[in-house]
Amino acid sequence: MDEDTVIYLSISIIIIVVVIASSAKFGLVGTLMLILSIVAIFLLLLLAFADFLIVPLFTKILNITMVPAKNFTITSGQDAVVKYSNGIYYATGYLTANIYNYIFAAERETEEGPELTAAPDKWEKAIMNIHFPFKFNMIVASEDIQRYRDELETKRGLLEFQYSKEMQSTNPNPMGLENMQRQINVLQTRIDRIGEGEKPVNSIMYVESTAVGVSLKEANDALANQLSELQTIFNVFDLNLTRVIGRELYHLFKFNYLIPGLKELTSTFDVQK
Amino acid sequence: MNSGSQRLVFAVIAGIGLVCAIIMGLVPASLSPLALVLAVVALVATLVAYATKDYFFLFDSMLHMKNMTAVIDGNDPFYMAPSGDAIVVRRGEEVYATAFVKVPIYSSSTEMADEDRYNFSLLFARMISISKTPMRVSSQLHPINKDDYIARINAKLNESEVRYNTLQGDKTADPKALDRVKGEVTMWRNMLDNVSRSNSQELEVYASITAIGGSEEEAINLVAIKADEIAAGISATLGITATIVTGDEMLVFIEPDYMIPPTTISEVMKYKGMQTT
Repeated sequence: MDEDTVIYLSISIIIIVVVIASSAKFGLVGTLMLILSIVAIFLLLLLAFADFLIVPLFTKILNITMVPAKNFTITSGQDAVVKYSNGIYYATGYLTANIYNYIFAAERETEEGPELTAAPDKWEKAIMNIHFPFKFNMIVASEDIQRYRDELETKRGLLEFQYSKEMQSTNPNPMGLENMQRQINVLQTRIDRIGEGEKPVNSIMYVESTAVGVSLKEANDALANQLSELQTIFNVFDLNLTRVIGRELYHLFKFNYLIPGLKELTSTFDVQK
Repeated sequence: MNSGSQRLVFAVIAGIGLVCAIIMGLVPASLSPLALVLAVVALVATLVAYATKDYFFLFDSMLHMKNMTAVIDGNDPFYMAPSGDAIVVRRGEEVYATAFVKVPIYSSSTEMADEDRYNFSLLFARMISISKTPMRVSSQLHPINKDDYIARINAKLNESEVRYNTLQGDKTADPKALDRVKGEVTMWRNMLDNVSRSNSQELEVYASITAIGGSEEEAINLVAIKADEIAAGISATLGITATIVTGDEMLVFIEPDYMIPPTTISEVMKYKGMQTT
C-alpha cells in the first residue's frame, strides 16, 4: 500500500467513524446509520483494493462507455479500447505480465544460468505459436545504484541488529531467527549482484493484443480468444497473466502515446524491482 | 498522478463529509430524520472523495456525460512533430514528445550455441537498464502489408499472360517459347495464390522514450537528444544499428489500423475463423 492510499483511506475512515460514534443516540435510526456506515466501509475497501471489480460493474450495469481520445471508445465492461476505422472495429485489450519467477530469482542464491540460456529459445517457440497481432511491452527505468545499495545495506543492518537482539534474549524464537536469517541472505544476495555489475531496474510488463471485426461484438469476442490464447502460450515463462479491466486499461492505452515519469508510474501500477 | 487540483477536490468533498458528520453528532435525538440525511450525505461524500484518488480524470467527463458516453478527451490522441521523428501530446500546460527507436535483431536462437544464448540474455538485460528515465521496450508481432508485393506479382502475371496470348495467336511462334511463357504464367499464378493464402507476419522490437517540455519545440528537441542516446546505447550493447523511426513507420507502432492495415484484415480474420470452427 503506497503512502497516498494510507492517507486517503485514513481520512475517509475517520469520517465514517465520526458517523458511527454519533449514531448511538438515535435509536432505530441510529441502527440504520450503523448499517449504512458498515456498507460504506465495505465499499470504501472495495474502492481501495478491488476497484477493478466495482467500477466496471457499475459502468456495465448503466451501459456507460468512455471516449479516451477521438475515434476510440472504452467498452462498458472496461476491458477493451475500440477504434472504428473504415468500417472495421479494432479492439485492443491488455494482460498484466508479472514475472513472479523474476522476483524469486532475485531472492535465490543459486545461479540462474540455465534459465537465461533457455529464455531466447522459449521466447522464439512462443512467438512461432502466435498467429495474430500482439505486443509484449516492458516499461523500464534503472535505479540509482548507490542509493539502492545504501537502502539494502540499511535494511540488512537493521535486520542484523534485530537478529543479534533476538539471539541474546533469554528465550529466542527459532522460527523468527530462521526467518530473519533468510531475509538477511536475500538482501546479501542482492548486494552481491550489484557488486557483480547488475543494475537494479524498475519494470512494468504487459501484453497487448488487437483483434478486428466487422461488428463490435465480433471484435470483442476475437479479442477475448486472442488474450486467452496468449495466456496459454506465455505460461511457459511462469507468467501470471491477468486481463486488465478498469482504470488501468485507460492508463495503458495512454502509454502508446507517452510514457509518464517514474513517480506517476509507481502511483498507478505496482512496479517490480 | 495526484495533482494539486485533485487534492483540493478531495479536501473539499471530504471536508463536506466531515462537517456533515460533526453536525449530525450535534443534532438532538428528536431530529433523527435530519440526522439520517446528514449521515447519508457524509457517507456518500466520503466515498466520492476517496474515488477522486484514482478516478479524478473521470469526474469532469462523468458530470458532462451525454447518452451514457463520458468523453475524457475528444481530441486526437497525438499529432506528428513537424520534423516527423516524434509524436506530440499536450496535457494542460505541458507538452510530451515521444520518439521511437527500432532495434533490428536478426539472429535466431536456433542458430546459437548455449553460451551465445546465455550471453544474448545478459546483453538484453543490460540493454533494458541503459536509461534512468522510463523507457518502453516492445516486441510487436503484426501481419506484413503485402499490398505492394501482391501488386508487383499481379503486374508480372498480367504481363506474362499478355505475352502468352500474343504467342498463342501467332502461328509461327516457337512451341518451346510458348511452353516457357506458359510456365511463367503458372509460376506467377502459383506465387500469387501462395502469397494470398499464407499468413505472413513480422516481429519488430522497438524502444520508445518520452520527454516533457514547456513548449512543443523544447519537448521535441529534448526527446531527439534522448532518442539519440538510447539508440547509441542499444547499438553499443547489442552490436546492431538501432535507428530512430520516422514518418508513417511510427504509426505501425501506435495505431491499430496501421498495425493491421486493411489489406491484411482478411488474413487476420481467416485465422480467427480457423480458431472458432
